[in-house]
Amino acid sequence: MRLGRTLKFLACLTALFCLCSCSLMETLPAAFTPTEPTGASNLPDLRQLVMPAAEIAALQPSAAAGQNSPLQVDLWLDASQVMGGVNPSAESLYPHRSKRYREGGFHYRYENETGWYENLLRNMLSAAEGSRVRVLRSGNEHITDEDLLSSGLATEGSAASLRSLRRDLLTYAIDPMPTVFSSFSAENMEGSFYSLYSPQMNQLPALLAKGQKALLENPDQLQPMSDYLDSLIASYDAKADPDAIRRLLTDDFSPLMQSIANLDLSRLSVITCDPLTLRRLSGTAIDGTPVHYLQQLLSERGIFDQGLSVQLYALKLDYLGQIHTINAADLSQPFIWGRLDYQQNKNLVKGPLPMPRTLLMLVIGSPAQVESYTAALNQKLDTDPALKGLRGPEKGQLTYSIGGETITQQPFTFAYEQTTIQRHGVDTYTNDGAAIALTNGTGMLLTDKAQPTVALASDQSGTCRIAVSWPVNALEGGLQLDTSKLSSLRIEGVSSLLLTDTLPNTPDYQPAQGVQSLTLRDTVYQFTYTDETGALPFTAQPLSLSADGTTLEAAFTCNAADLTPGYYRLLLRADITGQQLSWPAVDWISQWNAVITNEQIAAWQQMADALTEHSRTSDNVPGQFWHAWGDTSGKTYRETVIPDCPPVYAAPRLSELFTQLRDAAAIDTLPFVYFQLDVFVAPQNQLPLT
Amino acid sequence: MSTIAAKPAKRLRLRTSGGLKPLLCYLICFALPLMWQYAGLFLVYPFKLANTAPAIADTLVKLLPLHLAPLEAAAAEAALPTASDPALWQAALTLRDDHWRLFVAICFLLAWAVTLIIQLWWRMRHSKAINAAKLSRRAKRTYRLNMVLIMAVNAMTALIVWLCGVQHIFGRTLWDYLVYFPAYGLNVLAAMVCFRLAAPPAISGKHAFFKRL
Repeated sequence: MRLGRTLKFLACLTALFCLCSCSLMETLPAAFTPTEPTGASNLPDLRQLVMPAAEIAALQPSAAAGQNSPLQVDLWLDASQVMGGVNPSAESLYPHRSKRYREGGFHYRYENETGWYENLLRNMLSAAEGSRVRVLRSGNEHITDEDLLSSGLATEGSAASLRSLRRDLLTYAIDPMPTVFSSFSAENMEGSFYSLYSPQMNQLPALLAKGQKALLENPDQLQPMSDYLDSLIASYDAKADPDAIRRLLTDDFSPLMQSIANLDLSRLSVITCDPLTLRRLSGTAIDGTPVHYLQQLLSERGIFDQGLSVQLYALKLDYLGQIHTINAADLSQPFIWGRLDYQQNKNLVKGPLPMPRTLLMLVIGSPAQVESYTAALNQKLDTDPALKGLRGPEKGQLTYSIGGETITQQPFTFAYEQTTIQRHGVDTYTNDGAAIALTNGTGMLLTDKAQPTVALASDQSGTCRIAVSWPVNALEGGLQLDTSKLSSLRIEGVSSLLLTDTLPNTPDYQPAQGVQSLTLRDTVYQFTYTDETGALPFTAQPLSLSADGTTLEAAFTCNAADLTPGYYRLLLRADITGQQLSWPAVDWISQWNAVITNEQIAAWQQMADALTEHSRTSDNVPGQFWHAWGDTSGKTYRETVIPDCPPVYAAPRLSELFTQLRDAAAIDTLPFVYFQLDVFVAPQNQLPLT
Repeated sequence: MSTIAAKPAKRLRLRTSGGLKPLLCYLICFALPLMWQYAGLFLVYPFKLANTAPAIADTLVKLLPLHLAPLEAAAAEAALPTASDPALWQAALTLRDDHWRLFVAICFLLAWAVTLIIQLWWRMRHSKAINAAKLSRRAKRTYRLNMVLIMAVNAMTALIVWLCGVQHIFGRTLWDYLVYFPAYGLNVLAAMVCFRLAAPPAISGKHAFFKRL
């Protein structure tokens, strides 16, 4: 009976339990509440995947050449006839030397008075004091490779040895005293430093006499080199070959080009250049391709590739001489720029009346050497009393005409401008300092990984967008990033560890080499690591700068449905070229520059030809052509329209020269963005890692 | 005086226990659930249910009012790492698997042991052959009561396994249910078979409720 009651009680208790079970379930502890467990998905927990450590190749900056070498200075002096105001033509309407006309150019001399150029040269020498200084004469004379080889001076044709020989041949003095420059000028410039095939070309015997033979680069060749120079000098006869100068002057040749072509890049080189010797800086190849002579030469010599810097000077100096070429214009009668103040009625020379002209100067060397040298030079130019004061016609003696207006030359002062051109490095935007953001889609950033890693949910739909941004660094040298020319971003696959196969989970399963396998229930998921990623499901967007220009953004998108679970190791790359960087404007270049057209060149040549033609009927120079073709332009002289005065006071082709220097200094192609990241694709419920 | 020779009294033969056959019955019946659970956890689980373990240590820490240091340490070891180091994740998930299988095994062994103890206790209570008919009737009633108790114990244990872990397993399949729960049914069946076929001789017989092997 008792057991029967107990059974009935248990039955009632069971029935009661069943009735109350629903409410009991609701009051169960939280741990009993069914929840979506972490890592629950149709895939194993991909957080167990091991992506091998990333190896990012370090970008090594190129070392600048000659940083710590002792300072040796080469002064490449323009010895062109224009520079010396020398008229190379033996027969000329204008006398080479008279009471009204003189030669000398920048280096004119009248009694004890010389042009500012001599002071400039002294200061150039003085700024290099304490260094080994070599003065080289770079004139219109060509010494070609073929000449050197045929003369027997060079037995091997290596460019370096030929350049070395040529530097020795052009050496004028080594470790000179400042007085050496006085010998360049004279009231009679015949046979001077600036004459074509001047006897002063050969200074090798003088160097031998001074015991400086050992200072030559090829001391053993001294005698053959001297003989060769003597033969060159002797071979020239101005009267017998009046067209020699015209044969020498070619479009792509100038003393400046010769200097650059033969530079010793281990030394600091200072090159003077009369801008009128720059016949043409650009031409056209046979196939019609534009050729930029200076830029090409600078590139061939690798001046900027070696980290050298160029300081470009434009100096306003005084000039008195006869200009036989104005860039590409070969004048049959020289253009008179500056003359003596001659009072005809009293047969009295009062003194020189120089006119302003612009001289260019390039200082080429390692940035540190250029900086120290130019600082010393500037300090000397600023304080040199010889360069103070006014020069030029004080009483309006000299005039010229432009656009029908007569311009009376006023006294002028010495002045100079300068700017530095060098290849500036561009910071590469790498993993350092980058900020990553997932701007669209479901995912998260994994901040504790050695490699920046973005985790994306594989089971989402739509487009994901990942943006990498960097604070924009100021570019060296005031360069500006041209946002309109920013190159496109490229996405390269470095490697990947992706789900490639699923196999049944059996005791016989053995993972293959390079395969990581994760097991979930009865399936083995194989993830294969490979360096060959093939087509990637990512699309790069163009690089962009923020509105305020302070942030650079590289972004890419992907369609979540196209993603394969696992890891993508991506490299975001964008290169930058010189065309995408804009140089800072240099205001004085345009102010000092002069544009010369072929039409002007033709007009000037025509005018000189007219003078030549009609000078045969007269021994005297017509009054209006005593200086700068007179004070009237637009009028006719013997049916020839008198052109405007050529802009010899300015620096023709300066702007083009400057542009080519900058273009040569422009970077070729550098990595601009080089960012490596991992994209981890996993089911959404595996993404919250903590 | 006549002498009547007394016949020597026949010695009463009583079976003191079940002998070999009941022992075999016990061994077979109670080994079956053990083997089932062993096969489920160590032969089937790695190939059918791998990496599906819930965080049982963590669940138990939250449930139990006591602070058991080893349990808390185990929960901490199996907790999902805060860093995304794959090695930590692998270790944590492996530990979870180990903890889960240990928990399931302990639950089962407890239920199995309680079932066996109840059954053996009943057998001991009904082994003395005094008032056999009365004893047999009582044994029948207690058998039913004990069966309810055994079913309750096994059902409760299975419920704990469900609530603490199985319900948290994502994407459960038939294999989950086969591995975690049939062994409790086998416990009940084993007890029932032993009740009916391996009862003490005092209450069992060829045509009795409790059969004699």
